[in-house]
Amino acid sequence: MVKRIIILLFVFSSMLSFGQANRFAGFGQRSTCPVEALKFIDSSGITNQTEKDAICTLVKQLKDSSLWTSMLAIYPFVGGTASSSKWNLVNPVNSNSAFRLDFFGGWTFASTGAKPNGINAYAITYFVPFNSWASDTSISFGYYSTTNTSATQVEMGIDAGSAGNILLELNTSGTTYLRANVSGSFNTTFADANSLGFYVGSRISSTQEKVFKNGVLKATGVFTNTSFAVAPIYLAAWNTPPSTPRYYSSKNCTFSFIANGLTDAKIATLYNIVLAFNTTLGR
Amino acid sequence: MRKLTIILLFTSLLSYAGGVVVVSKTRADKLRVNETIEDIHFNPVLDSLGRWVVSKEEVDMLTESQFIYLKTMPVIRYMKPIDTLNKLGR
Repeated sequence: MVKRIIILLFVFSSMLSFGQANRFAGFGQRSTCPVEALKFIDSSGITNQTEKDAICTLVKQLKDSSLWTSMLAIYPFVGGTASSSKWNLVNPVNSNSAFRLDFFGGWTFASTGAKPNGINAYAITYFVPFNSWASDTSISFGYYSTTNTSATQVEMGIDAGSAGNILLELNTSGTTYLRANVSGSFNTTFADANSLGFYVGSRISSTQEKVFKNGVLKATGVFTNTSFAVAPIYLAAWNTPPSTPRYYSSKNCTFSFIANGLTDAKIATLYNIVLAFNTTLGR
Repeated sequence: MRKLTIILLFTSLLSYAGGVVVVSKTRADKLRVNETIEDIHFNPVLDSLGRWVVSKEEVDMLTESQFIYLKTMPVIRYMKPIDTLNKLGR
């Protein structure tokens, strides 16, 4: 009888420990999510497990590919509300200095991203080039559009006159325009069949700026950089003096970022990571 | 009957694509300092006729009782002002 009890106790305890092992296995999986991603998940309040996993994978892949340290602001547009979409993944703090977005006008938020209406919707990033980029020859920024339209609309930027303009203008009458810290007299352009995809502008030298679509270099402009703009970059509109948004965009945004300069190879890697992120989210 | 269907289709298209609500300048100024819902600010803009308008998207998301009157106002098609400043330099 005592033997039976001992055997039963042994079986019971092993069952218990198996359960514990499983619980910790689950905890272990959660602990593989980078702490930066966990902070963002907490701040944004997203509850959908697919979105949480996608954010974890996104940060992990950006770190594994040495892209994370170049990033200054990342807007992944998850959660389907303004309150969940305003956060900067790099620094998910509710303040202007953390480049948390402020939304204005007619936006539509969904699991598919954030769609401005092309009438009066825009967002302030509070990212001021003069204050926030360390070097005027090392900058990049991008906008992932899932709307195809051909109107005169600006997706990102600031009009700084003869100082450093920032401009991403996707497919205005078949041409896409870039200005990466150059005077307003210059544009790097390429003929564009549509406004769908991940557009990136980058400068890693004093003499060249480059525009990429879906990780592929589309055009190189030989324009010398100038002094940084002293006002913030807008999303879904162009910030023209004195802080007036113009050329409102109607292109749905699934991802946007501001970073230090990225090489051609890193931009191709970034595209693959962002594409996988959006694919996971079904958008 | 066919005419009526066409008219209804046309008006529903008008009210959906680029719809706006006209407000007075005074109301526009009051709206500008408020949020439509949490974390989205009103942004009244001028149309091509110099009228202040707010977008249908802003009106649709309203829940605050002080702005509900906007939901009762007619939605018209937005007419974009001509870009006389040509800031993009084209």
